[in-house]
Amino acid sequence: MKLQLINNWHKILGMIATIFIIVLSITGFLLLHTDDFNLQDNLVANETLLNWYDIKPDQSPVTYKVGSKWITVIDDQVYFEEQPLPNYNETFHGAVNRDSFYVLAFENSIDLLTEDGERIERLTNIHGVPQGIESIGINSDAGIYLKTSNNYFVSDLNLTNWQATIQQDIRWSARSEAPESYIDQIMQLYRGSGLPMERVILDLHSGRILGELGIWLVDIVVIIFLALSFTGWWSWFKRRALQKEIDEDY
Amino acid sequence: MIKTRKTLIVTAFLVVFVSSIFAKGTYQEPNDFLLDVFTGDIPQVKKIWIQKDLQEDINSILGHNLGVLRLSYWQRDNRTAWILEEIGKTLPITVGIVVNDNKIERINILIFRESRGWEVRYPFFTEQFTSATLTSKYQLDKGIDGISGATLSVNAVKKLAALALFFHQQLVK
Repeated sequence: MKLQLINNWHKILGMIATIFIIVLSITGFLLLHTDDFNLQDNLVANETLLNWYDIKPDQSPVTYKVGSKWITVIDDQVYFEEQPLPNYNETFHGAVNRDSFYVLAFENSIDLLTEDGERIERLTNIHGVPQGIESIGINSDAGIYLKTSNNYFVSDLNLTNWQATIQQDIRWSARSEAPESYIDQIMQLYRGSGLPMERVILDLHSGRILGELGIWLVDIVVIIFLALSFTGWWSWFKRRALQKEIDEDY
Repeated sequence: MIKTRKTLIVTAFLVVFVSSIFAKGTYQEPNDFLLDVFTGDIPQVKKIWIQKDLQEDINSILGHNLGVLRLSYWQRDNRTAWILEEIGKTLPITVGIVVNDNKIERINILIFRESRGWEVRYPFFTEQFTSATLTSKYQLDKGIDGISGATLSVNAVKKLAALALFFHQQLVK
């Protein structure tokens, strides 16, 4: 009777454990081969998963229309159209375009980009760029100006020589409202860049994907696995003893 | 006894926390680096355009595209100074490199923006590069000892050292 009861529990626990064994085996296998499957660089684009992880920027996106291009700032990440620019931990202060070049102003540097978003060069104080930039603008003669906290500067054609000047007829870079479809697209890119596949698989493996509940669930699964081992061994010993008794009777 | 242990734990935590705050930042302004290298008389900045034929070699050194179409450098006689950047884990590390006669003369970590791996700034690491040259496979001819916990930063600096030697070669050949 006792043996029958243990066997029944063993079967029930075994069936429950199967689901977890499959999940743990697959995720464990994938984690062992993170590099082979490129899971670190493979980013999650699924909206439901991104929402589940609550991946969203701290601040709303800020957009600038410069020439025919959109420049977007989400937290400290700047996008030129859909292309993310390297992050130097510097505040973005606007952009202008001259001919087919785009000049993006950051706190202590300017980025020169082609129309296709190819980066020509990043110019800093070693190239003569003033520090503490607050805004960038252009005048009717295509002269490029920078505003710092206490001065205005105008550049030469190569943007390497900046002279202090007075403000005259400058159109300063200003924020503009981008279409909702574009914002959605950029937000998807931003959110997607924050969640590598490896993290999701690791969380699936550890149960953390379900938060606190998941950790409890994995704890229960561990107890089930231990119980399965004990009931399995116990059942095996009992059967063996029973078989011995039968053999001896004969 | 318990109080002493608690104090020790809090102190250790504070040491780690405070050191990680002060670890990242600007160690030397790029302009000061150039003033130092050229003893106060910085030559006129020059530009090297990254032509398509150079791209393939640069890719094999960095493992990716350089990301810019032209670079600035400073040259006097057979000596060139480069201020290059490479991402360690997520943020760029700014490194000043001087090449003299196809050999590394000096490497200084100028700006470190990430929270880990800043140990590459110390001379015990950077001095290993002195006199390193470039092999035909675009690798440094000297073995550079890594730093545990700073593998990505170490790799980034090694790549930039090789890149500076490569660019120098292009100018003097």
